[in-house]
Amino acid sequence: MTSQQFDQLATIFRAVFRLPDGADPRAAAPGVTPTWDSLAHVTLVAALENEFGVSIDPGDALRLTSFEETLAVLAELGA
Amino acid sequence: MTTRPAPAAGGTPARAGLGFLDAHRIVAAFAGGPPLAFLLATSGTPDTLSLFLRAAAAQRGRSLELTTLPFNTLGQALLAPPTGREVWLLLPWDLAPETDWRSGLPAIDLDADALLARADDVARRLVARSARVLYVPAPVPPLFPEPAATAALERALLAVARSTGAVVLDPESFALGGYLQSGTPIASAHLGAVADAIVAAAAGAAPGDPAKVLVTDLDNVLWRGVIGEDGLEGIACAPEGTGFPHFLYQTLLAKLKREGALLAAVSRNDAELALMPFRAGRTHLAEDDLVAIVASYSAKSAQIAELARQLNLGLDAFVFVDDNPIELEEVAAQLPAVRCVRFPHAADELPRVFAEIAGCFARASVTAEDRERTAMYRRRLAGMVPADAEGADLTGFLRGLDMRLVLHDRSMADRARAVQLINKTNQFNANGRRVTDEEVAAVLAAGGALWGATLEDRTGSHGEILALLVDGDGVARSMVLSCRVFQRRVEHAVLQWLAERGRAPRAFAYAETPRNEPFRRFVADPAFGAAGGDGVLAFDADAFRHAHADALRLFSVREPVADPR
Repeated sequence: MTSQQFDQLATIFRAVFRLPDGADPRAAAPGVTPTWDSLAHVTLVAALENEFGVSIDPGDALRLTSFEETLAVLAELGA
Repeated sequence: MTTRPAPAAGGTPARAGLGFLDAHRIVAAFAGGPPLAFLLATSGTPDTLSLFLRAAAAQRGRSLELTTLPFNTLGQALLAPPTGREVWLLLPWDLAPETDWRSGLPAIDLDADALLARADDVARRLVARSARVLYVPAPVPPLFPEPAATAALERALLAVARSTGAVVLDPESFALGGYLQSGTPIASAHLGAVADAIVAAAAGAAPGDPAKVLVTDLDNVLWRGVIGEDGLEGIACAPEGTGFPHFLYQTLLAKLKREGALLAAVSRNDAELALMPFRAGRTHLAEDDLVAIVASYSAKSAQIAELARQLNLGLDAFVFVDDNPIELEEVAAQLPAVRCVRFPHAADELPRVFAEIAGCFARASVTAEDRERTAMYRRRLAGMVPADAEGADLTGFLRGLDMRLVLHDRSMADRARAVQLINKTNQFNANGRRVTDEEVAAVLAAGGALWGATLEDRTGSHGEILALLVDGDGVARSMVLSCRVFQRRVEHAVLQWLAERGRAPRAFAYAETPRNEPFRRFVADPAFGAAGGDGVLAFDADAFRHAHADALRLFSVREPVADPR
């Protein structure tokens, strides 16, 4: 993943989970970030598919539990 | 950018409409506008559309105020009284629940006629509540022993949807995976396009209320080319070559006129220029096919509002067609009742756009009075319609364009395009004087400077769009701006940028020409002094900086990479 894609993912995390200014998207996680609920998770999957042109199957969607894991899934999908 | 396909991986469908990050940028930059409040009724989960809907509204200068239904309560909502403006985003199973993939295939044999009768009942209820309907013709499960029977059911449901006046969306807008997994039926790649269709439906008039007036732009819409720049010989609207789409568009307008629509034109032009192609017999439409041809440098919203007043028709009876997103945005922001349609740059998009336009004027029958309507209204109007009112504030929209301005110091080399621009631009041109490369070289050798500017935005690159030649005494000998980028405040931003660096001209060599009305309006700014006997206008750069400090902030500016001076 390039630094540009890293920045894009950070922007997506901030937008989907409505992170406050200055918050580190790498610290976001279900159970830690109050806005990371099931609907936000669905929105995250849709945002990633839309922006990176990938198709995320249910198994991979379950692995999206952190910024780092999301980076790893996107890398595996060739984004 | 906005409409390019997303990079496809493993057969992933190409993206249609805005991407997520573009939508985010647009929403973040949007300063706010009149509310666009409506109920989005859909049986699926609409959350994934949320950002894209706000972006589509922002692109129209509107602040979204959205109401949605709880998951899987569409049927109940249909039985409740209407709540105001409603957009219903339907799938086949919203008309016929037996076709819902999430229910599995039914264990009993289905009666297709009974199923369609219930679908008709849903359609009648939608029509009764004046709902704006969008329909995604998703495939249905194989419900019948014969595959042809299932296909016939899909077609019949599509026909039922059409009976509500539905806008039919791309079948690829549906993704079964997301629908099964999370109840989100819209394919991720199509979120931008579907959201745009939803907001377009919400912003337009209710179905069953056909439009009465089509207001069309002229340059690059009724004909190919810019009459003020390219002249009569440079425009095209014959059934061949680059003019073909414009010929077809004129035949569509002629058909709509025969069916009772009123046609009018608005153009940022001089009246004489706007009429020239009609009077020279270059157009398929005749001048008297239109009730009015409004030629003015005023905002198009003002021109349309004045036309509505003179015709004594409501603005919701108007459809406006233009190729320029800025003009469309200005009209949408100022006159939200007007339905705005963008004339496409690619001929492949003509069928969709023609269907959208024709759909606005759909009517069951055509009467003799319909056919005489144009003549009747022409008698009512008195030729050209003056309109000098101010238009909408486009600041919010311009911010959302993500405009990137690159300034070039062309003083030392690579000046061919700048010189060419000076010699081909008529409208935003300080004095209309043509220059040779040798003359420019002489000015530069005497301490002058030649500035150029290129512009990109989220719609793509506009190329080199500005040239400014300043002599050694600080007098701007030439300043031109391409008409493609009028209204974006490029001219203000460039002078602001130069003023901040102490490089702005101290005066402009100005001369009024038959075609440079846009420049005459520009120098009406108080920062320009009165013309002396030599036609030179003094320019107060500090006053200009203070008056237009906001212009530069509309752009991200890349400074000359290497300023050779």
